[in-house]
Formats: sequence, structure tokens, C-alpha cells
Amino acid sequence: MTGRRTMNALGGAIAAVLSLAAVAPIVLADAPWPRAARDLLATAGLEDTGASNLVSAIYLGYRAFDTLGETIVLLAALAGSVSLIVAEGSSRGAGKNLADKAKPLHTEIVNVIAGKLAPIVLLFGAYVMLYGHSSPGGGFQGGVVLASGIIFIAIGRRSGGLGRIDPSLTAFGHASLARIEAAAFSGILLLSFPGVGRAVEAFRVAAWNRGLGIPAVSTIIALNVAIGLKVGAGVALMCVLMLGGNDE
Amino acid sequence: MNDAELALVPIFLPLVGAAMALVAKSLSEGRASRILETSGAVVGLALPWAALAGLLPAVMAGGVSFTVSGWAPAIGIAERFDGLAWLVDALGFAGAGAAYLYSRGNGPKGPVFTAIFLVQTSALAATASTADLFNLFVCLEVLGLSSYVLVASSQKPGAFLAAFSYLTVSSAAMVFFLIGLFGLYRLTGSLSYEGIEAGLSALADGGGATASLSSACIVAAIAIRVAVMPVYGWLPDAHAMAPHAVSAVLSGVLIKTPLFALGRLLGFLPTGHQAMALVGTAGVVTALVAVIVALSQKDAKRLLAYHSISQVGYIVAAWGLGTAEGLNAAYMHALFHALFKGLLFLSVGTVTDAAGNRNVYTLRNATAALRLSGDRRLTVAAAYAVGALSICAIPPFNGFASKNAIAYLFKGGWEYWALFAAGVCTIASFMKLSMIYLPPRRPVAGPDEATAETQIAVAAYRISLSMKTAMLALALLCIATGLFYGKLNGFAATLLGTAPKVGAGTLYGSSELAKTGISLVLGAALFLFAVSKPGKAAAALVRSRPRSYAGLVLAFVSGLAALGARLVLFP
Repeated sequence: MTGRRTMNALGGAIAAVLSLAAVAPIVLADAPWPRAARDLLATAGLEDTGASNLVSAIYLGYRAFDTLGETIVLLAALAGSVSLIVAEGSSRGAGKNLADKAKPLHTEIVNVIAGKLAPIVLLFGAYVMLYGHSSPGGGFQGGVVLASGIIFIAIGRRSGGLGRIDPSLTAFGHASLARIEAAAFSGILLLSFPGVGRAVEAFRVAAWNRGLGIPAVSTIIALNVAIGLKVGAGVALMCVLMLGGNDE
Repeated sequence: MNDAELALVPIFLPLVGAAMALVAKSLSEGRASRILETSGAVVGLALPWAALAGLLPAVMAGGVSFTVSGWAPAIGIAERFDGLAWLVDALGFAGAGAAYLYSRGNGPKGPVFTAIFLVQTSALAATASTADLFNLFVCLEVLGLSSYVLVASSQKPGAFLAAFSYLTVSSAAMVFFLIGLFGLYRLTGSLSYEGIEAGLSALADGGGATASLSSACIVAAIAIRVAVMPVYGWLPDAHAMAPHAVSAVLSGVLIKTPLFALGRLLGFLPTGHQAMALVGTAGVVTALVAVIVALSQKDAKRLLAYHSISQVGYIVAAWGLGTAEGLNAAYMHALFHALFKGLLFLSVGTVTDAAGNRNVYTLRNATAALRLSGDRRLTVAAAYAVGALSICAIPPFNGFASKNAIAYLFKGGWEYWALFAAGVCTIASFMKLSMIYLPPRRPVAGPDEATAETQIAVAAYRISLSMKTAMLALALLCIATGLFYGKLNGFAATLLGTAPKVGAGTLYGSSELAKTGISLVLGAALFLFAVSKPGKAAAALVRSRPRSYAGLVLAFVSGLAALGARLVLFP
């Protein structure tokens, strides 16, 4: 056993030295920092995309196609996690044990505070999501904040809690979360489907000529909203299932 | 819709299909949900063929280069839809379509599987046409993440661990990819391949050691996905544990797409040619070593997985030449391998499921198990035979043409003989695997050797029509592509901008046929050794060689260091 341990330690040391030798010259290189993209962004970013937050101009404007890929990474990761959680729950007997385990955490204090905080957090999430084009934030960040709000509701309405939302409505249950996620994903695809961007722009110009002003940034806002809803619903769905919410 | 937008449609249609499947999942289970899921699969896997047909004229005329949504090339995402992208898309949609059809019969089923499967197909198409380093990173991430989920979806014990080990290894490798990307961006201020090339050539020393090491990091990270020596260790578990349909896609399509994407990138890097040559040499070694390991396996699907590594070695070897002819030969073998290896994974998976036994040494009389599972005409056995004859390069099946075309490129070199030896081992290994169809032996007195009666145990297993259709389609394609190799190769050569050097006439010449005969004799001799007592002992020795996660990490880092040293010291 010790022989194997020594071997592993030796292998680890060799791996560390070799990877450092390969990576250090890249990281330590003293080449001048590239400026072309920065200058282009500074001069044309706002005009091209309409977003004063240039981070949004990059990830929902110039490189929106990459963002679509990252959204899908998140989608696949969430789908994988959810199927693992469901498989784990069913092997333990319909997730009952998970819920039982979580029970001692549910004190009156947690229930009350979670219930009071939920609307504020949801409102903040909506703000971060809607104003991503002009201030720090955006769909991904806003979506995660929204998810926290939904988790607060889920915690606040558990048995023994205040029950602000009637569980029979399952407004924030896993079925409706899955529906919101699927719809938001369809929305993102619709907005980024090849040719749609050009059609929207043509429509916007036509509307502008008739005196109906639609700002150029509205595509970015729409994408932020769709991404926010998708991320929020996806993350909340996973957390609700982890709280044992799949036995409703 | 212009050509630039049409070129993105093969990427978006599978995503639309995935969205439809997700909507189907959120509906309550029933007819509407099932219809929506099936239409999603049709939109994602069948409709892209129409887009590909529409793109053919533009591709014939030299391909389309554009930035997504028409942004400035300095900051937008560059795409290049050319003959190579078209061909790799065709390979992906053919392999994925057949595998999905099979999964309708044998599972995994359900809208989530369909959605993730379609996401993976979309990522394959995106990887094929990207000409932007960061977009390539995103494509590889989507490709990887969807395949981890698909491997884990088999729910078999060990599948989770295989998926996890696959995830950790390739995620760790992607860190090096990002470091390489950083290095190249730092030097050139550009993410598009053309911008990087222009930026590097503007530098006095072409980027020097920084550029070389950055290239090495990127090549090593992608080599892990292609499972070339020495970084193939994650593949056997992942491919053997995945559901059969997923194994077919992983082995048939998924390990080759990153290779062609890497080739596109390396064409733009100053040290790209050297890196290709080194990876190509590793490919020749891979072809031989992996097949020897395959010969020693006892689990049928693991045996096939090692053959995938070996066959990809052939492809990498031809690709590593860096010429248009080499790329042409590599693509043809990649396409044919997708067909016959997909077929082998599906047919062997079906047989072993029907018999409830995956051990090549103990499973016998598999035809009886097939008959009991509702395959009276033995379609599955016939499909297996076509796949096995194809991979063994027996004329007129497709593997014969593509393997010989690769061997032809290396005539007179040591690589030729290494690939010849790999061919002999392949024949021996498939003779061994074919023993599962032999009549039952007398019960052997041994603790782990089951008798023929207990092997035919899985009574509830049913081979459905869609499974047979998928296998029949692949089998017919294996035969047809073998018979019409000349025409097909000519078409691929035109798309890749070259002319076929080796006609079908040369391939079917007497010397090639004599070589096949000699391979068969040698293969039979090796097979007899492999099933003898000392052969089995040697196989057990190969199987019990230490394999660890730490070893995999060390192999990756050593490969990276060797590649970096080669590129820095001998630019």
C-alpha cells in the first residue's frame, strides 16, 4: 500500500512539474496586451448593439452564439443532475428520506424569514435580469437570483410553514418549473435562429419609419429575460427536487 | 435565408428538436407528448439533411466563410462551412440517426434522453464548421457534457463512475485548452483562426515558445477527446458502460469530429504541421497497441471499445500526414468506421442483452438466444457478420477499401507494417468475438463458467422492429459504401479539394487481395494462440495491467510535455 502511495506521490510530482513547465511560459510571457478588440468595443459597442453595458454587448451581441452554447451546457448539466437526483430518490424510496432528513432544519424562524424574503429576492432577480444591458447583471445572474427566490418560497411553504402558496396549485412546483424552462429555452432558440435577427432588425427599421420607436437593445433585453427564466427555472427545479419536492 | 444563415441551420435544427422534446417532457404523459417528442427527433435528425442538400452547391463552389450574424471579423465568431464541414455533418447525422432509431426499441427512452441526444448532435455539427478558437471550446464543452449525461443514462452500476471519470479527465484537459487559448489570444488579440494566423505571422519570431506551447496545450486537450495514445484511458469504460445506442454514436462519430476540427485549426498555426505529424505517429502506435489490448478482452463491449481506439489510430495516422489525400483517406475510414462500428455496437449489444452474458469466453450459442428474443431470421447475427467482415477489411465490405487506402499512403514505411500487424490482430480478435455464435460446449467444470442452458436466460428481452431496422440500414450501408467506394471517394475528394489518387481498381488489385489472404491466415493463427491456454494467460496478464486515474493524468501531462518539447525545440 505504501509502495503504491509513493508511486502516486512521485507521479503527482512529475505531473505537476511537467504541466508547470508547459504552462508557465504561456502565463509569464511579456507580450503586449492586445488592444484591437477593446478599441473596437469602446468605439462601436454601444452603437452596434445598443447596450451601454459592454459586457452584455459582447455576450449577447457579438458572441451570442457562444452564449447559446453555454446556455446549453447549463441545460445539459441541469438535466443530468436532475436525472441523477430522481434516480437517487427512487432508489431510496420516492425521496421520502431526503425530506425527512431536511425536517430538523425547518424551524419557525426559517419559515417566516424565507417567506418574507422571497418577494424581495424575486423582485431583485427581475431587476438584475431586466437591466443587464445597462448595468452589471443579466440573464444568468438574474436567473440565479430568481431561483433563490423560488427556493425561499419552497422552504417557506413546507409542512408546518406558513404555506403562502397552496401546494395544490403547484405554481412553483417542479412540473411548472419544467414548463417554464422548456418555454424559455424555445424562446432563446427562436431569438437566435439563423435569419431571425435580420428579420427582427428589418421589422424594427420599418416600425421606426412609421414612427414606432423600438430601441435596438430590445433583442438583448429579450434574450436576457429568456435566459433569466431558463436559468432560474432550471436551477430552482434542481433545488426543489433536492429538497424532496418531487413527491408532491 | 442566405448561405451563411443556411450553414447554421444544421446546428440549430437539432436544438429545435431538443426544445420540442423538453416541451414534450413538461406536458403530462400521453399521446400529445409522445408525438411532440417524435417530431422533435425528426426535426433534429432528418430535416438537417434538407439543409445539407441546400448547402451542397455552395460547398461545391468552395464553401462559405462568414461571421455569425455578420459582426466584424475582429470580434465576431468566424465560421467556415466547406466540404470538410459538410462531410463531417453527413457522418454525424448518419451515425446519430441510426443510433436514435435503435434507441427507440432498446432504450434509453424518454424526452430527456431525446433532448440531450439532439443537443449532442447539434454540438457535433457546430464543431465541424467552427473557425473560432473560443467557439471551438464551447462546442467541445457541449459535446462533452451531453456525452457524460448520455453515458450515465444507462443506469448500470459502473456507468456513473465511467461518466464521472470521463468528465474529470476531459474537464481537466479543457483547462489546458483555455490556457492555450489565452496564450494565442495574448499574442494575436484574435480568436478566429485566420486572425490568429495573421497575428502570429506579424510577430518577429512567429510567436516563439509561447505560441508553440499554446498550440501543444490545445492539441493535447483535443487528443484526449480523440483517445489517441497515450491519452485513451477514459474511453473503454465510457464506451463499454454507455447504452448501446450511445456507444454507437460515441465510437462512431464523437471521437472523430474533434479530430477534424483540430485539423482545421492546425492548418492555421505555424507549428501545426509538426504537431499533426507527431499526433499521426502516435496514431499508428495507437492502432497497433489498442488492438492487442482488444484481443485480450473478455467483455464483448469493452473489446469493441478498444477496437474503436485502434481504428481511430488508423484515421489519425492518415490525418497526421497533413495532406489533402491523407485527409480524404482519414475521412473515408472515419465514415466507414462510423457505419460498421455503430453496427457492431448495436448488434453485439443486442446479442449480449438477449443472452444476458457479455463474457466472450463463456457466451456460446448466441443464435438460440436471438431466436428466443424474437429474431427468428437472425437479422442481428447477419448484421454482426457484415460489421465484423467490414472491420476485418474483407472485400467487398467497406473497411477493405478505406483501410487499404490508408495503408497505400504509407507504402514502404514502417507505418505500413504496423498497420498490417494491426489488421492481423483485428482479424484474430473478431474471430474470437465470433465464437459467441458457436454451438454450446459441454458444461465445463469451473466456478465462473456458466453452462449453455443458463446463458439463454433473459426471456423477457424482445428485439423490436426499430432495432432491426437500424441494424439492417447500417448493414446495407456497409455493403453499399464498399461496392460504390470509387464513386463515394471521388465525391469526398472533390469536396475536400483533391483528386482520388488510388482508384478502386488498384485497391482490388491482386497484391491487395493476396495481402488480405495472408492477413487472414496470420489472423487465424493468432486467434488459435489467443484461445489456447498460454494465450488466455497472456490475455489475463494484459487485462490485469494497472489502470488508474492517476496514471491517466500522468499520461496526459507526459503527452503534453512531449508535444511541447517537440514544438519548442524543433520548430
